[in-house]
Amino acid sequence: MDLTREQRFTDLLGEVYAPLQHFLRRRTSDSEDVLSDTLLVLWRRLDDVPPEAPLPWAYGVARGCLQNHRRSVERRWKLVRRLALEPPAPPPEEDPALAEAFAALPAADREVLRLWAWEQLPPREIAVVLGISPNAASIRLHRSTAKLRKQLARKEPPPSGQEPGRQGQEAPR
Amino acid sequence: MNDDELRTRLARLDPQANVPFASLTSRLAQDLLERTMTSTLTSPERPTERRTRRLLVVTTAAAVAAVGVTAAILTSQGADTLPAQKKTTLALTLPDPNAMSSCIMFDVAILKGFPVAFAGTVTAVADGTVSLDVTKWYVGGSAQVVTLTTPGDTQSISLDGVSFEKDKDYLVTASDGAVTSCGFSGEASPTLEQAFDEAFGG
Repeated sequence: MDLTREQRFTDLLGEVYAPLQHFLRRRTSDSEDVLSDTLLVLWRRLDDVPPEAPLPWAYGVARGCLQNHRRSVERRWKLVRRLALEPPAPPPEEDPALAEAFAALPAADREVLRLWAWEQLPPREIAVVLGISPNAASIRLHRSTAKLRKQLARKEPPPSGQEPGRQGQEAPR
Repeated sequence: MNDDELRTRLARLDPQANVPFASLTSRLAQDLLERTMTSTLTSPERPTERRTRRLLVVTTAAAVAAVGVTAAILTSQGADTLPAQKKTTLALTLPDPNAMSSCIMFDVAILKGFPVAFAGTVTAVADGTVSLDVTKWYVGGSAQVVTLTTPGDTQSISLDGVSFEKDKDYLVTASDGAVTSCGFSGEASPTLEQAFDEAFGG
């Protein structure tokens, strides 16, 4: 076995292994299977990993494996697919209004917001995960945060003293 | 609420916020690492693939030799006396449909790595065995008939959850005597056909 390649892979995993576990657990109840698939792709495509953004790139690979896994589950176990496809829900007791507002958003918006708030990625790295341009990622994030604010406003009244029209004005970082 | 505040508030909903993760030095991680790095599904230029490919070549050569021997025996019997059903046959097994397996993303580069690939029409589905008349060999064989046997006592004979049907055309790849699933084999479609042509040069 190529020891250099093995060492490079181990180094990469030192950086991405823990975050990948969280990334997948946030999105599927079959995270171990998908993690295994993801590592296989990372190993096979080790030479393609961009040195400047290995983690977002690895998230992008995990996302592809997740979609593949979902299709596979859907094909094989149509009757029980919802059990396997539903990602773990956010704990609503923490902030019920926000949890409800978040849950009411379309899937694409939820994913952008997860990448931003849970994976803590800036727009340029969200772009790597989603395979879109940084500019498109910024626009999507801006729209998604605006939608979340709108949903949230329906769930809870704005705090007193807040100037109307200020919400959603600032571009997300 | 500015963006930082919204982000912080949303981050508090993260179901994984305080959940521990397996460390890379854990037994679980080390096992996974080992399995991954000794995987046979690496791309062709990788060093590990060369070792795998040698193994696959040996396996394929054995399969081809077996078919060759069968063909030679049949030929020596004389074509005139050859019963119609005595065609050269290659036997492969199907993956267990009850086993929970994980899939790797479909990629022509991976497809290319499989040592056996052919197109065929199902002529019979019975007793846990699917028989196909080969219409085209892409790589790794010359048999006229391929039989696919399902492992164990499974009732339905299927691949990726889809049952084989008589008179339908399929594109099949195999490795180590077993049909590969996860979309690398399946009912013929223009998309799969194109992928096979691309992988094996038509």
